[in-house]
Formats: sequence, structure tokens, C-alpha cells
Amino acid sequence: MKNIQFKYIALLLVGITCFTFSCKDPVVVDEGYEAPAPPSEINNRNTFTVEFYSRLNEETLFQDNEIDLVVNHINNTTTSLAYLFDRSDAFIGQTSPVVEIGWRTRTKSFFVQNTLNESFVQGTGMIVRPIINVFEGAAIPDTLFVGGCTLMAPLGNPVVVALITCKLDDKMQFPALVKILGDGLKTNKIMIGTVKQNISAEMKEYLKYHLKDFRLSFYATNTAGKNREIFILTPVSFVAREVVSNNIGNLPMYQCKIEYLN
Amino acid sequence: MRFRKLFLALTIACCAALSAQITELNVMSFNLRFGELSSLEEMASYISQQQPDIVALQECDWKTTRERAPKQAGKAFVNELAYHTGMFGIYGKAIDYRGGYYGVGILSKYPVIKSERVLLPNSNPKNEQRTMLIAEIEMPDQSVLTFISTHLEVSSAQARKEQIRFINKRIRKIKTPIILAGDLNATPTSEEIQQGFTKWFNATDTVLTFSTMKPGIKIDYIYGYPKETFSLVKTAVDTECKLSDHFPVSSVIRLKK
Repeated sequence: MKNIQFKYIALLLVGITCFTFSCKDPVVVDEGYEAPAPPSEINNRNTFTVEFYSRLNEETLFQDNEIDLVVNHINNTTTSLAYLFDRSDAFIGQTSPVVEIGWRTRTKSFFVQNTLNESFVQGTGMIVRPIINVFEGAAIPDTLFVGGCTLMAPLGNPVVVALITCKLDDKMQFPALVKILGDGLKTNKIMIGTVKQNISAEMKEYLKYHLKDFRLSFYATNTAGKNREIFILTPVSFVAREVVSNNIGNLPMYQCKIEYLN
Repeated sequence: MRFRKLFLALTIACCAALSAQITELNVMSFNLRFGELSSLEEMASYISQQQPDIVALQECDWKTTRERAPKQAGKAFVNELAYHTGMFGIYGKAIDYRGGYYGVGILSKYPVIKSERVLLPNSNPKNEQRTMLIAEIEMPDQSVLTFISTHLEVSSAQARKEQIRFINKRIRKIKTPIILAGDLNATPTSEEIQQGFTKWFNATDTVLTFSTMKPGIKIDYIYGYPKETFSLVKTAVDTECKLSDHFPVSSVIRLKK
């Protein structure tokens, strides 16, 4: 008799367990943020170009007399909205390459530092043509420096964009990057920088789960001696259409074509 | 026992000295008179000789063409001075002028993290629009200092009062030590200076700064905020320098952290 009672109780318990599990909400898997596909056709009236100069490795950019070539190039072409010089490093008390380019091209120059010690600053120089009222920057000491400026992109309907840059060497910088960018990329922040090749996949994965309303694309070359790649991070209302590899003398330059999807 | 006490006192003194880090900064304020009286190379050479860490510049042109300064036509002052001094340079436009701009600038030995041009209140449209340029500068020890270059209204004490009130309100948001330098167009005994800078540390003396031809008033200043963060090592008005109609003012300021 006792044996039968025990069987009933066991059956009842199994039944309750099955019922409980069957009533639970289905498990929702967070697949992260995925931007909708951009239109297949490019609207050329709504595109602008940013020239990004980089050796895509750990070397300083200006090693020879490349400044002359860059100055000639900027003076003879007016199509690019801005020019970014990755690793155009500066020594405290000496004229930095980007200040010299700004002086010789009569354009506005800025400098976004990556690291700083008492005599040497590693960083990215920026040259822009329009007059700028705000140069934005944020630093999380020993972790990440982000900087850039707000300017009017001369599109079909002119649009204000904040063109910013940073350099990513370690995945520990990703949370800082998200913190600096804030809640999504709603304020037309366009970031062009470099990331070490061995962490770019992790960057993509991290941002997918920690940022919204963005598009991220990478550009790498197969050339030997390169350990970095260019990343372009835009709000979802912009898209990096292409990166064209070019050279100014021996200086590698990448023309980043960005479209505003209004 | 006595030795132990002495050792303890010395240890505490050393710790206190190390925790209260002190930085010395050489700051300059220089109204350039849009380059009417000297070349930009001469000004840059003068600035370099003084070895300042940060310079506040006023009356800076950006690609203008002035009849009174024909040699400066088309020149971007801050670019030129940054290039020749080996410093970083930023520019803040106040007004459009003769095909270019007229405004203030900052030269810094150390990189600028962030900068903003802020227009000052201007209740009388007949007055020239005035501006202040705010820069966050990162020091070699990674601390951040906010530096402001400004040039206040010349014709009205009331307008200057409004502008100083605005500046005082605007700096409340700033968390770092601040140095403000510039041509305030007001004398030390004026109400606007007496009342407007009570919470600031005055890092200049009373030597006259204007004009170089006939010195008669002091209108160029360097101030620090908050007051208790700063002390003065030395200050000087270089009355030998006749590169502009203002004498340059320099102060070595000690910044307690």
C-alpha cells in the first residue's frame, strides 16, 4: 500500500515539474544590435570623403620629407572634408607635423593624443577646412583618448557631424569607448581610427552587445608589416561606402567615402 | 624614543609633500594688435624666448586683409605662431572681418584635449561681439587644466560687468583648476574688476600694460580659480617689448593639487 502511495506522489511531482517548465516564458536569446542594410545605390550628393593617413602599424607616420607632399596635395585638392594623420607624433616644445601642415595649408589643425609623457605625445593630427568652434575630446586616463571636432558636412542638405578619432590597442578599451560614445550614436558622431587586427573581431562583437543604432566597418590590407586596420563607426543614419587605398609619395593614404542616409 | 618621534615626523612630512603635488606654469597674456606693429615671426621669436607653457592671445586675425596691417594679409595668426614657437595652437573667432575672422587664440606647450569658443553676452548690437576661448589642456602628469583666453568689451563698463558675470556663471560647470588670461579692458580699480574677480587669484601686479607708446592703464590680467589652488612665484610686464600696443604680461604660477 505504502509502495503505491509513494508511486502516486512521485508521479504527481513529475507532473508538477513538467507543468512548471512548460509554463515558463520561452528563452529569448539576445543577438545584439544589427543595423538594417543600407540602400544598395549610393546617393553621391550625400557623400563626403575623409582622408586617413596611416602606416597601419606601430611606426610613426612622418619619417622622411612626406610633409611637403601632403601640403602640396592638400593645397591642390579641395574635395576632402578632413584629413586625419594617424601617429603624427609630437615632441613637447617642437613644431608638430600637423601644426606645420596647418600652417602651410592655412587650415585648422588639431591634435588628438593617444599617449603622453613629459617630452613625447603619440597621437592623431586632424586638418579641417571650415572654421571650427568646438574641439571635443574625452580622456579616460591610462585607458583611452578620444577627440575630434564638429563641422558642417557640405552635403545635398548640409549636416553637422562630429568627426572623431581614437586608437584601440587592447580590448580593455572597449568599455571606455562605449562610455565615451554614450547612449547609441544619436549625435552624428563619426569615428575613424585604427584598431589592432587581433582584436577587431572582438571589437565588433563587443559593440554589437553594448551599443545601438550604429554601423561599423573595417578596412585591412594584406601588405606585410601591417598589424592594424582602419575602423569606421557611424550612426545608423550614415554608412561607410568605400575605403580606397592610395599613396601620397610613399605615404599610405585611405580615402574613406561616407554617405548620409537621410 | 626621541629618534623615533623625529623619524615619524619626517615620514609624515615627506608623505604630505608627495601628496600635495605642485606644478609651476609660466603663463603669458599678449594682445597682438592684429600684427600692425611687428611681424608674426618677431612675435613668435619673442614668445619662444619667454618659454611660456601657455599663452592667451587677443586681437588675432585669420586670413583678413587690413589696410593698417598689409603685411599680415591672408595670414592665420595662430597657425603662424604655433608653427614658429613649436606649440599647439587653437583659435576662437569673435567676428567676421575683411574676408576672414578676428578673435582670440591660445598657444599651449601641452596638447589640448578639448576646446570651445563661447560668445560673450552682447546686449548692445552696436558693440563688437566678444568671445572667450576655453581649452582643456593635459599636463605631463596627466592632470587637466582649463585655460581661458578672452577680450572684453572696450566701450561700456556695464557690458563688461555682464560679460564677467557670464564668465563666472560659465566656470561653475568646470571641475578642474582654471586660468583666465586676457585683455579685460578695465583697470584694477574699476567696479567690474573689483567685484567680478573676488573669487579669483590675481596673478599679476599693477604695472601698466597699455599703451606701449604712452603707458597709462593696466587692462591685461592673469587670474586663477579657485583662489586657494594658486600661488604666485613671479609676475612681470615686459615694458621693453614694443611689438604691439600692449605689453605682454607673464606670470609664473604655482598650482597646488
